[in-house]
Amino acid sequence: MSRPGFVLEVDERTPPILFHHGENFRLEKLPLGSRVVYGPDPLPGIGDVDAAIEHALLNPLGMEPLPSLLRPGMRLTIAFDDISLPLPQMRTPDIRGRIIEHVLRHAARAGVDDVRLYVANSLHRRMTAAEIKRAVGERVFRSFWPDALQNHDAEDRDNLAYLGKTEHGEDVEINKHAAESDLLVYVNINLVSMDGGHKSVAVGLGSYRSVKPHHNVETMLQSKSYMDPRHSALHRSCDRMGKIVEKTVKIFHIETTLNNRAFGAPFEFLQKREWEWTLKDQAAYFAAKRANDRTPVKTRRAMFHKIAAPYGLTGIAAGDVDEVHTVTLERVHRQQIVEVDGQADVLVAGLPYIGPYNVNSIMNPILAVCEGLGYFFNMYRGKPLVRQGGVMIMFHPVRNEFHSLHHPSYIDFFEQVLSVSTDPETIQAKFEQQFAEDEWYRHLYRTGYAYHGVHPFYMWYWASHAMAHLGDVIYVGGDRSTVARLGFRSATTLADALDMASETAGRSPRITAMRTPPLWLAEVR
Amino acid sequence: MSGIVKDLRTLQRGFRWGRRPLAPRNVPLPDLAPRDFPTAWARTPAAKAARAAIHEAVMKPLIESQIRPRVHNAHVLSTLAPPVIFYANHSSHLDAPTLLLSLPPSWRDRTAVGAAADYFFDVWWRAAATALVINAFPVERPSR
Amino acid sequence: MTLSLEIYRSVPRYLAARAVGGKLPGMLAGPVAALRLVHRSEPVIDRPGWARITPRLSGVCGSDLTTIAGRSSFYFTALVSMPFVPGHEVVGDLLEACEDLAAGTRVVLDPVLACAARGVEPACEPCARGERGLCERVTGGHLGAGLQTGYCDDTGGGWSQMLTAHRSQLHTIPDGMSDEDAVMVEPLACAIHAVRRANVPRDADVLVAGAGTVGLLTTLALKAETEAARVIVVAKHKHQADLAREFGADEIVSPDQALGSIRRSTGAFRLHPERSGPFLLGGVDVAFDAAGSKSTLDLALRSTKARGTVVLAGMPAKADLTPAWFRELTLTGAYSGAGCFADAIEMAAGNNVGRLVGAAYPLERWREAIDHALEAGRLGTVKVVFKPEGPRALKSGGVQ
Repeated sequence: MSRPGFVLEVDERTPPILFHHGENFRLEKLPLGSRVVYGPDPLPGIGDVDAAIEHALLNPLGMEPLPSLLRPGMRLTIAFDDISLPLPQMRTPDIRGRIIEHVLRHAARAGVDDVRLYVANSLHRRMTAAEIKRAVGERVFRSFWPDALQNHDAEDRDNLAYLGKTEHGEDVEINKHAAESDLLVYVNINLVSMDGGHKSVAVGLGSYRSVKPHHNVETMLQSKSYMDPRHSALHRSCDRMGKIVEKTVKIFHIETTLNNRAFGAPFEFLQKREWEWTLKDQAAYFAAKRANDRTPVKTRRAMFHKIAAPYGLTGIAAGDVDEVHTVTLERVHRQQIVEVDGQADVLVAGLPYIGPYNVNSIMNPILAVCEGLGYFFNMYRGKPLVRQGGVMIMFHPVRNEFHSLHHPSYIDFFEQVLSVSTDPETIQAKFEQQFAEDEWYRHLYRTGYAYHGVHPFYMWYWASHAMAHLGDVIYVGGDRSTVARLGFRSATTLADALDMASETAGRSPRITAMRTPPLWLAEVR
Repeated sequence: MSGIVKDLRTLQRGFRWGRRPLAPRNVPLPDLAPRDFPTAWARTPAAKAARAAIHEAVMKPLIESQIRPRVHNAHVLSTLAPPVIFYANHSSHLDAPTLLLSLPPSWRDRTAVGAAADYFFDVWWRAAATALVINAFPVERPSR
Repeated sequence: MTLSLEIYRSVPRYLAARAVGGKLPGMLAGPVAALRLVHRSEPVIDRPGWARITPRLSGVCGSDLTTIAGRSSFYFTALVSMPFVPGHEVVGDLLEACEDLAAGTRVVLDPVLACAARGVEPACEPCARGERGLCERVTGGHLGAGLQTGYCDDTGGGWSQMLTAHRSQLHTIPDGMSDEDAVMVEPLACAIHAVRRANVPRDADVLVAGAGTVGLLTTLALKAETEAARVIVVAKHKHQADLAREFGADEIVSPDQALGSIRRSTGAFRLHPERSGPFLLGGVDVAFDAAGSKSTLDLALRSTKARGTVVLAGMPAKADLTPAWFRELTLTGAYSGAGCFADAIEMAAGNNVGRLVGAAYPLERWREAIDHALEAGRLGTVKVVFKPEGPRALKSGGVQ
């Protein structure tokens, strides 16, 4: 019986609460009266996944069944979500590969020869061969790599098709091969309610020109939050673009939802409510913490990024983008929504070792800002978990460490841009274009495994709503000078952080702590 | 070293080692751990040997110092084939040992005793001792 | 069969409890407690005026914990019949009609087993006067020895799914009263009785040493019934201090500050003997020992002015009685709440005393309940209760 999420009130009988701290954990005793938000238990997964996939393909919503869309001589393009989903990665076989195999089986039966697969990585880094193989499975990889299975290249002028402007004057440009296909099949994993829908193709297969209209500060300030498509300028823009895309190419859109069982043995204790920890869980925590404390960061990182989650599939739907996405969002909400009464003065969150943009990589300071002030802050519908002018306290080491292969433009962003200003609007006006059009970054994005030159800017914009909303931001355990460069404050312990926060939030603040994992979405009243 | 001590102390204080688990006020108590104490280990040859030794050296002298059991109709056993259920129409802690000791060794070796889970199996050491000494297995007595 | 918790005679456990209970309180909820969960045979009613009760909530009292810890005075051994089911703070439903009360009526129990319940006729002198708490025949009549339900083998007790009670022990309560308010009626009755026994003069300074159940309810009764000028409460834990304030305490102090605070308020002199605790010459007019601990009793004796009154509101610990002699104090015992139930029911209804109930446990979780109760103060709880969930009388008659 999966229990819903709930809000705990800390009293004398409450054990210490577990928080992520980058590549480590901590147990913190929160002040009496603090509230801790727990996510719902994992929903049961579908037993026969293959049957569910077939059923979705043969009974799509708002569209003809897949086989009737396939015929010999047609051009078929299959695009799928990149490595930024899910988090942590799922155990093999990855659902994307399973779905693609089903689609290809239908295609083969219908005599379709011209098939090409694209990773819909947008301006993210290219996926490596090994990463792609893990996502699509060995058979698909062997059959299509490297000519017919590629990363989308948003800077390949020869493979971009300009589709026009929306009624708001937003440029729409996507992968040309996909745009000129007879059918575009998209395979999505909807981890959070920001994903999916028209965002999949328009952004996933888009270019800088077509991502710019909604990846900017004004859009972010009008997306409250971007986890709530009903109130998100980001999604409104993507929807407009999606309509233009649909006029050009037929999209058979497949969306999947997963339950929130992110950690299996020996990390089950991470998702267990602390007062339900058995001695075994406490021992597992102790062992993990000891190992972490004694292992160098690099080794730890490698170990953590190898963790694969035993997700269950909670649903799969295919067909028309809007109809499918409505169903998908319902499923995401059913797994993730927790009702929270009222806002806090202080919001406390532990930032994990992994985010969408550092899978198999390092969470550099800019990504730590995006993770905390971007994603964690925005995991709400209704109102933010913390009041206007409140304080957000996060646990993360915020090391001055960057992955030179994956995040080269981030290094320069940290050195050059943040030393001048940390204000998103100033940054956007003064520096974005230069980074976006830089030839060297473009080269690294196209041929190496680097995020696009403009990407660090998007990370900063993703946090702009939080920056405008909060009165103070404190990183506990963060490297002092690094955090200072980011424009925030650091503290050594939670007690010190609360002391610092009292300047803004008073001596007896209402505290809400975000207990993750698992991931959840707050419905704040 | 101090890190280890600090972590252990956090766990010890926070999770009340040596005390019973508690739930915070606005949370329902977590379900009682199922009292399914595994007893298969008590039927391994090593355990059987230990049990036989305990019966001979401790239980027999103890029982016989308290009571003088009189066994009637033991010959019936040679006409019976398992499975067999033995019932005591009495109610005392002495019944199980007395019954066991009154059986011939070949029967005693293969007899397991159903014991109240809430009484004999509520703490691990009593559960282990009961399983070992009288080859017990837990039987739940529901309260309603 | 009735699921019950039973205290039974066990010399080794008693000794073990005394030996380790103080240092390893976790053991008192485990192997060393002479307390076990058993199925007793269902009680039968074979006399008029008796009925069976299914408890809804049964409180855990400090005296119960003292017994489990093996620290009760041997004095009581003559007043109990082992094995007995503890639990004397009970709100429950009648399983069958009892004289004028219909089956299914919700009642609170006055646990004292006096002459009426025991069928002793003629009644002893205190019972005849109406002072059931002072009954001189608590070991006689047709019941085994037992000063109260909860100490008597024959009646059963609150920590079970069924007990028996005599009509003289039953009080009905208003329909609107919550079970939590009702389970606090018995301790509240004891508190009211203690306050009455104290005869608090007008404009008196009163000290309540201890802010657990007894202390908080005594505070409530003092403010309601007396014209004391100031009620000072000694509270060890923050939640107790908050509750004391809500119940009307005028001044709340922590244990180490108590003597100093009383000294200042009453203008007394403080003396510091060698190898003994400090004391006042002067102090409060009336002091209640509401925790039954050595420290609270010492504080009460040492901070009461000459010819003042010290009330033993709970089972007392041992103490140095020198101050009682030297300051010519009146030492007053206050036992049970017999005679104060009607007033307690009224006071309970109006004051939300049910909020003191911090946790309710089923009988199967008695170890957690006892463990919690032993440390209740530090865990932010005042009262721990059992919720036995036994059979109820159906409206149609018959039993579910």
